[in-house]
Amino acid sequence: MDTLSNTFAALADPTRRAILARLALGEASVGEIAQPFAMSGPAVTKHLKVLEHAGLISRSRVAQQRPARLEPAALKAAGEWIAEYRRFWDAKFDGLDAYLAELQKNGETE
Amino acid sequence: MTTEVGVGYEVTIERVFAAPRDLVFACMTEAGHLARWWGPHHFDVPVAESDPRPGGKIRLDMRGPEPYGTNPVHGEYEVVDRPDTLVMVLRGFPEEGGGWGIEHRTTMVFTDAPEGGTHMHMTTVVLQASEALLPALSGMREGWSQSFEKLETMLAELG
Repeated sequence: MDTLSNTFAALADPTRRAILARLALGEASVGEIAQPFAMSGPAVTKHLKVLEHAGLISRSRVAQQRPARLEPAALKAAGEWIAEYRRFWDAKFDGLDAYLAELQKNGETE
Repeated sequence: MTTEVGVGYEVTIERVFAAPRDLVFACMTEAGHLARWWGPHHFDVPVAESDPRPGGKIRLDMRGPEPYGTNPVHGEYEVVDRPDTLVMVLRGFPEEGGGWGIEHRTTMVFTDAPEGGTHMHMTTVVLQASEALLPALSGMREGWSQSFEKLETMLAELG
């Protein structure tokens, strides 16, 4: 998997999206992240590893708590990709519009 | 910063089609219809299979002139609740080595639009996406808008 696939795979999990939403408010330690989710520390650490591997967060190597913080660049790359993908579907549905018009026009005249 | 978190994991598209819900739903799920609108007008769809029931397979091969080649889309339906809801997992843009350039779960909810026609709320969660796909998507879009121009001209001549 390339980087962007890792990003999307990481983002496909609702818990990890919630963790990102928490980190958008500021950096946090494993304990601080675990609290509102009623999740164990190891479970949070597992999710953080996936997010870090995807480039969505980084973890401090200085403090012992190793607080996690958001890395917006990966989200931005995913967002740009999504924008292109949305245009792709919009074009597809323009085609469906034309087809529906054609179908209903034929239906009326036949 | 907070606004960026929602970006990137979900695409939502809202759209109103000028047709009744049953017809829109049929266009989304019946192979005969899919073969007609899935590709641009000068493309053909040599393989169109659709088994619209939970676990049923979808397979669409869109064949275009060079440099487009054949673009297959494979997937499965997860929820088929005619004519209200459709959930499917689709994979597209196969890569060398057997993987897919994209895999996504798409949910479509159809309601009667107040102004008439059918309102579609489509949410796509991208499960996997390849960086290499971005230029392919742009290329496809250009190919498509060109073919729509041709289609419009053709329809105008017919009308």
